[in-house]
Amino acid sequence: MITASSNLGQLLDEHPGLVEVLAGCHDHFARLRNRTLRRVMAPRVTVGQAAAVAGVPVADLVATLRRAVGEPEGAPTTTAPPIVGGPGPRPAELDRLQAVEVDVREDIRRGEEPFARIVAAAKALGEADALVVRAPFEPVPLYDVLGRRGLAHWTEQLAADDWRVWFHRGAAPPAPVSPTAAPADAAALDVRGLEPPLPMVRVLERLDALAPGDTLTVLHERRPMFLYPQLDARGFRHETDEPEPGLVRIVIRRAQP
Amino acid sequence: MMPPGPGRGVSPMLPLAYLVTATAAFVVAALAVPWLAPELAGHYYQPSVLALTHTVTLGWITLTIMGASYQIVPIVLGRPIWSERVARWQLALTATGVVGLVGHFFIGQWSGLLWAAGLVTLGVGLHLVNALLSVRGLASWTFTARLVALAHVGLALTTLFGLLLGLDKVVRFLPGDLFPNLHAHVHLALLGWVLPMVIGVAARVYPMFLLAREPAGWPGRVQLWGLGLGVPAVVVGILASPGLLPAGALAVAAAVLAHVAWVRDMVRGSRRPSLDWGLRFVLTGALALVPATGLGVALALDLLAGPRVALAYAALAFGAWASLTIAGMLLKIVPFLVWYRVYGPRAGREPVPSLPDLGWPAAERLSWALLTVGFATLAGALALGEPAGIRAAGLLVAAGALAFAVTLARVLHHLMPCARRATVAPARRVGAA
Repeated sequence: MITASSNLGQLLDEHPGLVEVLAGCHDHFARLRNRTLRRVMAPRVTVGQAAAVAGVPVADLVATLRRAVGEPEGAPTTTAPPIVGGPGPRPAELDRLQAVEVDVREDIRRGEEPFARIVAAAKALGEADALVVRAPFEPVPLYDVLGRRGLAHWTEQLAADDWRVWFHRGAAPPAPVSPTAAPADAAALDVRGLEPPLPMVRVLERLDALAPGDTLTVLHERRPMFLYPQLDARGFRHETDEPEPGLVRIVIRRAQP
Repeated sequence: MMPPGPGRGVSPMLPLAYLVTATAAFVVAALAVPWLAPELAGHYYQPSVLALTHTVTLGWITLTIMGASYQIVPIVLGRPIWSERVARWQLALTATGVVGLVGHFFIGQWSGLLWAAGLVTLGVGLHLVNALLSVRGLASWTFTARLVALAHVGLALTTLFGLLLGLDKVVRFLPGDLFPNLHAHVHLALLGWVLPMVIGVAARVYPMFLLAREPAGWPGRVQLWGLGLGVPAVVVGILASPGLLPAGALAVAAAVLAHVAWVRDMVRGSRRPSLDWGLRFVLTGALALVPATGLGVALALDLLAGPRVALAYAALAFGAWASLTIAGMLLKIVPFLVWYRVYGPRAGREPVPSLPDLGWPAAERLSWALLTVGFATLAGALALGEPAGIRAAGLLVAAGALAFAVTLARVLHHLMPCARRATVAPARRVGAA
């Protein structure tokens, strides 16, 4: 029996024809026609979460799906699993956190799967960081996935197709210390996935705002050999380590006058 | 914390000096193709054809790889270059040696080859010393690091073999016939030096530009073992033990196909909205590896034979594959080096142009079309031995090389102070968060 807590991936495996039923319900679901997105995203989403993403009533979506597969429509619909965090007033602590933004709007527009990128950024999040995800729809499944990593969320809708969600440690249960945890006064900048020389440009743009003694923690895919001379020339100290394979961390500090 | 590196990056003018010299050699070689069409329609063992071959292999391909390695190797291996001064001496010696070598090949004065070959050997020796001391103490011998090391062994052996071949022209002492020795020298250069260097660096650099995940898994092992075992088998097979040649050729072919499979996977996983012309050059080059390898295997298995097929094979390998790949890499490297030199110190302090602002896509597209069609046509015309076809194809290649050089010249003109002022004013800010 299809309910709000049914897994969408399993459902589509059992009834592939439901892709078209879902696409007919709402434009958001048309993306499930993309095989890659369907394979990666659907198993992580319940029917209830999918309804929330598309902004359609859960009961209506469950009834539509039941009708399509020949199940009785009148049976009760269980509610979706509880979501960690949620809407409400903007938490004051967000002002104190350093935003690490991952904008996946372009990825989704191109039909690419952004989940791995978001999770990678969440894994690299320091104690003083907030992960800010920009998406063309409310990324409801992420609330659950990142909630299990101890991240609470706060959501803003900036436009019909522009959502900004802040994931932060908040009041959520403490998570294990990230390998990329930075000093409390640190700002963080994730430049992974950018084509050279954008990583260097992004870093250099942030340096002017750095007060003496403050640090900027940069997350990179490789050691930025061409950035070091620029840092040296501008009077910044820097240390590099590799907390895990494929992740290079550079801590940049403005030298005390 | 591991040390951040000495912080002394190589001046971008060093690799640029190599790359400009190499591009000049490419243009000279391309212009020579239509001019040498009658000779190219005959046997390859002629003074002018040997001069053309060394202009391409040493002047264009080797100088480019050496220069690019001074920018790319620090990035992909995370190690600074040991000595910039040695690298400058190396360029002077190698470039002078190449000019002497090509000149003496062209006029057919074998005795004069020796001093030129000696200069090239000295230049290559300095490169090897610099490379060895740069990777000394390398913590992790990655796929790229292993293939770069293998390539440098191939470079050392190729150079030594070339020097011995030159000596043999004056004092005959090498055992065996001339042509097996010559073929072994060519294959040491192609399979032992150029191929491992390109596919080793590609594994780190292509994902960087394609915005794709770095490749991993069994194709890497196939490439390492295929080249590690296949290249010695090919060379020994050519020189002394013909039974090894087919096995070696098949091992190298497996390595090449594994590389092509990796490139295909990276393209599929690319997050780029579209490919720029530099990447199109590189990917077209990777595609050309397939027919080049097929022809090479057919020659090794004696399914095909003769100087016409051998010349077509060389045009596909050194032209369609190596030249297109290298030209594509230069379209990524040169703008970065110029940008870094001119605009890097200003980045973050004032608006600076982006890399695409430095390029000239229309000329890049024209160059790509002319070179792609030109090399494919040239391979066909060489196989047929048709001077008119070779001249026509050569004109396409020459026009493509000129368009490529003009593209790079337009990028390089940003090094001039007047060009900087003109560009910065209307440029958009790069990378604003």
